[in-house]
Amino acid sequence: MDFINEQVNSAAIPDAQQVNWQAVEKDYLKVLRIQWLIVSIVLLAITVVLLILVKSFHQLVPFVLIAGGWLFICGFYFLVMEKSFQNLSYAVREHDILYRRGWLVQTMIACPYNRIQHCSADSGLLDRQYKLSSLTLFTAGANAADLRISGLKETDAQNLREFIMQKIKSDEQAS
Amino acid sequence: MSKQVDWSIPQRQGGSALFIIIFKTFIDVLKTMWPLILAALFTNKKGRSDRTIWYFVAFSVFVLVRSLIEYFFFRFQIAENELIIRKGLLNKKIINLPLERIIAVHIEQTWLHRIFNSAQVSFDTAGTEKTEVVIRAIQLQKAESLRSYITEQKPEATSEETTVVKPYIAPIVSLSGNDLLKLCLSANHIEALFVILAFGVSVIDNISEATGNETSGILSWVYDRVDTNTLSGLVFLLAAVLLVSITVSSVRVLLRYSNFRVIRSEKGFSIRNGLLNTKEKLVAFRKIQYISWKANWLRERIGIFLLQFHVAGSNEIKERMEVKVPMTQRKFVDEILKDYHEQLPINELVPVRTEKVYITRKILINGVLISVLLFSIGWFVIKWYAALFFLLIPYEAFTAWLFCRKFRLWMVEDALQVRKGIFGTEKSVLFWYKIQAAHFRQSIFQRRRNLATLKLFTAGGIITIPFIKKETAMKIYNYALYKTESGKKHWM
Repeated sequence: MDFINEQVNSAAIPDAQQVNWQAVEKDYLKVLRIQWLIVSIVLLAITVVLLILVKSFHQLVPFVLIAGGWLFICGFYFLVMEKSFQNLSYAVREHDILYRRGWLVQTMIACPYNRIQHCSADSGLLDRQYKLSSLTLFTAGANAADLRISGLKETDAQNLREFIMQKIKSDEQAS
Repeated sequence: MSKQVDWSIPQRQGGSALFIIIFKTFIDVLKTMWPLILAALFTNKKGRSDRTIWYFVAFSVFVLVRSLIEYFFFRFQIAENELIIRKGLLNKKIINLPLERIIAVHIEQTWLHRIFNSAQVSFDTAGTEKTEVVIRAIQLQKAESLRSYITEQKPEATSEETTVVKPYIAPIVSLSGNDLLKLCLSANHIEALFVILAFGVSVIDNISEATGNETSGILSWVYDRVDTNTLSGLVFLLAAVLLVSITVSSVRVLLRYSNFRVIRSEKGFSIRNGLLNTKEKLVAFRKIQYISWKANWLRERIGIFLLQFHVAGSNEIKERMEVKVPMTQRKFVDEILKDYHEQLPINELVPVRTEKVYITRKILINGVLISVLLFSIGWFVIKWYAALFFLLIPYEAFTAWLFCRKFRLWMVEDALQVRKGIFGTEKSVLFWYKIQAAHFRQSIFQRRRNLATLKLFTAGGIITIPFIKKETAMKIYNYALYKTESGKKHWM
């Protein structure tokens, strides 16, 4: 199927697949693992409380089901997190920024600079321990159209933010 | 006035803001935690008063600390034509908002603001309410000064919706009595039935709550008078329900579409309607992101479509602008589309279709997986009747097949057109340059079959193109980005 009008040379259109992907910081995996650990402990606490307080769970089958459920959820969460991290990367191009994420469902998100309304950089408590930051690019589209890149070095996030703001400004001036 | 304040210096919110923040935080926390607070108050009879005091103290300290952090770690300034907001202690945040992107500055005063002569300032960025760009409280004069400063920097930051409409041609859409009758008969009577049922249930609930009696009395009153054991009784009951549903949906249609007309003005479409209260809405041309028109199965047969403008703006603006325009004649659609983009010459174009494997995926996930899960749970309650859940499989297969049969995507240099639907049909036309962001998605299932799903985000909604060939999807993705980034036309 050739959908492109003849006046546009399809070879001249940049291919989003042909970019050098930049992986996010490896330290971000540590942050994700700590988050996983916290969630797992909280879930474990809830599971233990349930197993102690609810008398009908004091039998082998419900006990195995609930404990197995906890193990399955935490294990699956860990697997998805580890696998997804390998795919977590971004590419800064001249007119847009690309972001790749996911394992079971892989998504490539493109956010053109001339559609960005504003951007923000933020860092949580864990992020700051590893000098990491997240950059969020807000567009006028629905919530899912916003792009959030986590696991950037603080300086990289700031530089990227400055770069994008400059891009927005130069686009405004050009138009 | 704007020169009195040097906005390049980081500003803190007004002193009164602290009280307002404490009050608002108190209300916010109360809203989220009221079940816990109630539980704390009404349980634990032993030593209840002691615990209640501790809960109260903990709650107050939490509110106070949160408010103090919000107040003392909030700074805003304007530097290099950007509004910069810094906030947070543990979760630090810097927001940069270019002044050019601000389309409106809202100053709001609640009763609490009035006491302190302050105001809340928020910024509409052509987008959304997700921006969090809100200054909770600064002095009213300062707020006005900030607004005029930003307006001076960007004179067009005024409310466009207040523009007076001066019609210069006859209505492009108006409905005759015959059209109204068609709309009444083809309305969604099932939806009306559910509205009646919901209304009925809430009324019965209220009555039983007020009187303290069981509601079964009302139901048995109906049951006593209608003999549901005989066919005639059942037919009577069904006919009565149908009649009431048709009457209710017809009244809804009449209230909504009497005196309905669409007029083309210089700035947009002016839509007037209403039987008792006449309303007028202006849908500005530049705010329209894409246009869609749809019909249920019956309406499609008699040629009636409901056209919808998908506009940009905050949810509030979207709600205000959301109006379904009935298209009782083919030429109405073409008339409206003239000001956006005409329908694509679909007979001359090669369409992109959803691949048939979409049906397999729907059968496996939405059909087999869900029905097995429902059967497993249902078995413990209703035994073999739970096998009825397996009817979900043929239903999913049938609806997915209908979807595949109907879905088409046509593209030309400057726009694309999508047709989709299961029992009804919906068509949409979208300019490429209206796209805000694009997603290219592949599940494991899709990766094995070399397929992908595309999501094109606009400020008015999302267009999804599911289960197309990966190569085609990537071409469309690249082309959408190329058109969005290389075009000179502004999306709004």
